[in-house]
Amino acid sequence: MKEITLYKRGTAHTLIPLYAEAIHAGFESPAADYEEARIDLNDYVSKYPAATFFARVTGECMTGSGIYPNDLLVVDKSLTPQQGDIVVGIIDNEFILRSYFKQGNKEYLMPDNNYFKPIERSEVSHFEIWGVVPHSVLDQRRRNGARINRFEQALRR
Amino acid sequence: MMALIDSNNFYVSAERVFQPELRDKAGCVLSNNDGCAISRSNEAKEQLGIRMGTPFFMMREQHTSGKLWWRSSNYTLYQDMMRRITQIVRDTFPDQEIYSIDECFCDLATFKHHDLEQVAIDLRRKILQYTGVPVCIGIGATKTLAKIANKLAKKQHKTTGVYYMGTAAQIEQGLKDTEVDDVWGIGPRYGIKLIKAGVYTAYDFVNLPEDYVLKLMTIQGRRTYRELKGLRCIPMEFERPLKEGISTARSFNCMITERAPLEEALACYVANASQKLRAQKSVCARFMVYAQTSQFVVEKDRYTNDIVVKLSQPTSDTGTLITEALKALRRIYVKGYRYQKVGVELRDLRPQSQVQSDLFGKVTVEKQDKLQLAMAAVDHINKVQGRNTIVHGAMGFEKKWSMRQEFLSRRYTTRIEDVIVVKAI
Repeated sequence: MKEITLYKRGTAHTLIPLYAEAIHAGFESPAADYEEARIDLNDYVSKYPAATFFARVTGECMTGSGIYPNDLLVVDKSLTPQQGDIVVGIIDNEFILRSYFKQGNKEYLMPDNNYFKPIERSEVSHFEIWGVVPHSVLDQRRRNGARINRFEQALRR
Repeated sequence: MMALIDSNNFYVSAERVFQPELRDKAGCVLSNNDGCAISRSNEAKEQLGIRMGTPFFMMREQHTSGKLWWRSSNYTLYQDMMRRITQIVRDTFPDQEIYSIDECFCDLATFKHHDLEQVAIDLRRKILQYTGVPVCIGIGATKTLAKIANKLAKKQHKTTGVYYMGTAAQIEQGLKDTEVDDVWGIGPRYGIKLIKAGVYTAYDFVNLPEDYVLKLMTIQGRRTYRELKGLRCIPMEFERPLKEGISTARSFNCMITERAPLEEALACYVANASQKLRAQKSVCARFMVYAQTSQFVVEKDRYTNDIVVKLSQPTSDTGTLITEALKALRRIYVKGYRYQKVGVELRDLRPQSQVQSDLFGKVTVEKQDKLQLAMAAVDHINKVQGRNTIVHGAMGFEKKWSMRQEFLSRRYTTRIEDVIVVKAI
């Protein structure tokens, strides 16, 4: 069997790190006391990780809210829906994406366009709010094509 | 006080969170290899009479006629849902012992001045909203009483899902409503003995004289007896005790006669077991390998054999263990039989730190250390990149013998390509 040499990370002799934290020979970093944890996107998008799930979008009825097909949604089940929130609901055993409204005792789900009437809770046999969507992740590079077209048109003008 | 939080039909409930079409319909989750039912929805229990362990083929007709859905067991999903639930519980009750994948005990000693029943009702509601999994909570003075309260919560208090056995009257009623063989720690064998002796309920049981219980059921029985009287005998285990043995074995999806696929399967089980061994920072000094045919074939085709191997130097290295296990398998393999199962059991486990080097061993301490680093790296990669990203060649690639999981749902919470799809249509 061939022998493999394993090096523990940081013990290789040939590489001398340019910036290392622990050069105790010199002066201590004046910023050491001010060290903070780096920004974590998870903290920003999710209030309660144990109740946070992800979902993928199909269909275009929520483009008015900037949610396009294939976008990734952050779904937080710990949140209670507020007026106008985007929510993942269950109607007829399917997950659907809508915005949420409440008026008096009535609760409604509605897509982002004027052709549809809002669905009211008591009108359907099963109406459930599965979770609230506080954030969505849009892959900007997937939309480069549209921007390139616009750019080329502008040059031609 | 102690609380027991227990998920209702956990595997079925976890499937339903992400597949709304499975709700309100009879369904079950199948064991490894899709052999039999191991988790059943209430509808499946009550309307179709499906029991724990009802074999797959007996349910087939109910499935084809659309009365029953089923799924293969998706442990990746269940493990993640369990992690979520235990986190939420811990935020309310910090002193927690995870007892099994769907149950945890909590010590409520710090909650003296609270309305415990209300705290539990709120917690239950929170778990249901945050994860979609329904749970029941039982509260009693000891673990055994909390278990009883939990069962009663499932049976009698479906709306709140909480049963609080606080007052003497509540305890008496709870014990009267519990059949003696349903008590945690009594089991069917002693259950029959007790029923024959005219002890039908847990209440009858606690009214027996202690000496009688000790004589009939030894010290274990007395422990249960005292627990039911409200004396804490079973302590909380905040840290899981280290395992004393690790075994991995599964039945094949078909019978195997050739040696090569048997070896592949065994190598996979060894890899699995040794990964668990390293996770608890132990090494093993001895292991057993066994091979067997089905027990239901005619006698001349029946074969079962095992062999125990003592290692000159205890180890947790997958490569070493696979090599030794395969050598052992070759000694018990007899050509001509149709094997249904091979397995390995790692024994004589001890902490890694206590290993002494073998004076005459081929492997030096230095090399051992290197192997350990390599295995740690492999374990890390397999954890981050998915199981079986790095494998030993002996484990094979086709795995024709591997688990049957025809009805597996997706890994909705651990794989980005598997998340639920929401219709904006």
